Amino acid sequence: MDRLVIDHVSKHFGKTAALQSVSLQIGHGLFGLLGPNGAGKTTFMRVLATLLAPDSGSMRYKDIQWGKQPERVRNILGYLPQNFNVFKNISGYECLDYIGVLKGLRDKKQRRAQIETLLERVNLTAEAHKKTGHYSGGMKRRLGIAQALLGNPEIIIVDEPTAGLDPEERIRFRNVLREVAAGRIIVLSTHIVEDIEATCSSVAVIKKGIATQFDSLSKLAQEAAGHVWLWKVRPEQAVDLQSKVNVISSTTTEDHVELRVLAKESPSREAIPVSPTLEEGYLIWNQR
Amino acid sequence: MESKVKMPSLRLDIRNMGGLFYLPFIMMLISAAYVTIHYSGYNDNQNMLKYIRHDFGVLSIPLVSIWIIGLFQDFVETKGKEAILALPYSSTHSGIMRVLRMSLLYVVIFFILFVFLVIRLLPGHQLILLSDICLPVLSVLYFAALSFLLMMIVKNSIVCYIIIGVYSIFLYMTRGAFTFGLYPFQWCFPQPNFDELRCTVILLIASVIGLYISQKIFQNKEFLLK
Repeated sequence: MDRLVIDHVSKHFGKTAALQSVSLQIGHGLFGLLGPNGAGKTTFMRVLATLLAPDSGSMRYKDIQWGKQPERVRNILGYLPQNFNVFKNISGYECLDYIGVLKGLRDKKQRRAQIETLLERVNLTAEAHKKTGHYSGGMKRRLGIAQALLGNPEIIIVDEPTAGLDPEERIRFRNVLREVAAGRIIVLSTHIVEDIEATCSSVAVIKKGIATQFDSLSKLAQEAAGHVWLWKVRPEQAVDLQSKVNVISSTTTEDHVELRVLAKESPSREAIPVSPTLEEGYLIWNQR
Repeated sequence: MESKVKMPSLRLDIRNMGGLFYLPFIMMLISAAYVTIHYSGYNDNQNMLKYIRHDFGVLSIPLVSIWIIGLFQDFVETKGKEAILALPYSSTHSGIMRVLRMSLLYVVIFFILFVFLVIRLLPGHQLILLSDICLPVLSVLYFAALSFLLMMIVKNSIVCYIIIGVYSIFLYMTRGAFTFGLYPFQWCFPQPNFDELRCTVILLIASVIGLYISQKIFQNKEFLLK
């Protein structure tokens, strides 16, 4: 299977190291890039999209080299940035038509057929002839993914796609991503663990420009193995404990509160060790 | 995916400009209407051409900037421009060729109205190649090149409009003083000390240089991203 190989890619802005020797191997399907704000995710996505040239390192997919053939890369790439707010005066359909031309889809009939299929796929057929300036945030993202899919690219880069969306739109967007992932590479960057959990099969975590790849989500979750405790306490005790231990979540039942606590050692005799979630694995990794 | 690219359609470029497309067009129509109404029945044939050029041209020539600036808003200014910059478009077709196409359309509309005014108010007058065609065409092209360049450097349409506006007012108020012949109002508000041919050549050279530099910047996606 063809893999996207990123080999020791570094990028600096002045004295700030945005990416430090990032090495990843990404196969087909949805790949998540998880990290806090300012970790270097967007810089990485822009380097991948050939918008920024790395200071060192290389990237390749099949026989295509990023540094040597950026034009070829752009031909196999679809990119949805964090904000997709372009072509506000034309309709969604016209926007896709415009982008289709810029992508080199010369045959008018084929281009239009593809646009209609994509609009249906992202559930925008009914709104296709509305000005994009009047679209909601969720509709803009869906139009964004449709434009990224135009021309059937082999690699799609999606940067923070669900930030600011309501839960319904978020679920809809994740479903679209899952549907289109077959047979291609989708790199999804986000700081929302839930997005990764719901869509991706493998993940890398990035912090201060340094990335670590995990073959599966469970491997990242296992980073917190032995560090997560379930502690049943009385409601009045729970309030007290919030400031004393690292409580990740709490569930209130009829007569007690279940706290999930992150700690290297058992916080109490009553606390029992439990299997960590992806979010807990990420939190532990991030605290290192 | 096919690898060959072409220019986006003129229709979509125009539609994407929204109301900005109509503004210069309306201003040109208003200027033409004003000239027609104001000078109907005037018998001053000697100065009529001067009046037409001034009253029609002073506003019409720099207004091409509105079209050119509007043409590049999505490439350099809007949130999400990365999505466009990452596309495999041809820089030449999406950059300089779109500027030239839009300028050509502008010049055609400009000349239709200008010729109409001349026929209506100065019947029998023959247009002179240098004075009536080359000079106004290059004046329009100069403003188009300047707008393209400003948009590439400043990446903010409002700031570009302000710069072009202030620059145009300065040129008009000083009547081209301190410009060493780089005076795009020579056709409509001539500086008597300037030679028309020299002015035309200077405008041509400045436009070509402006277009060349703008196109080079347009090719630099990393710069446009900033």
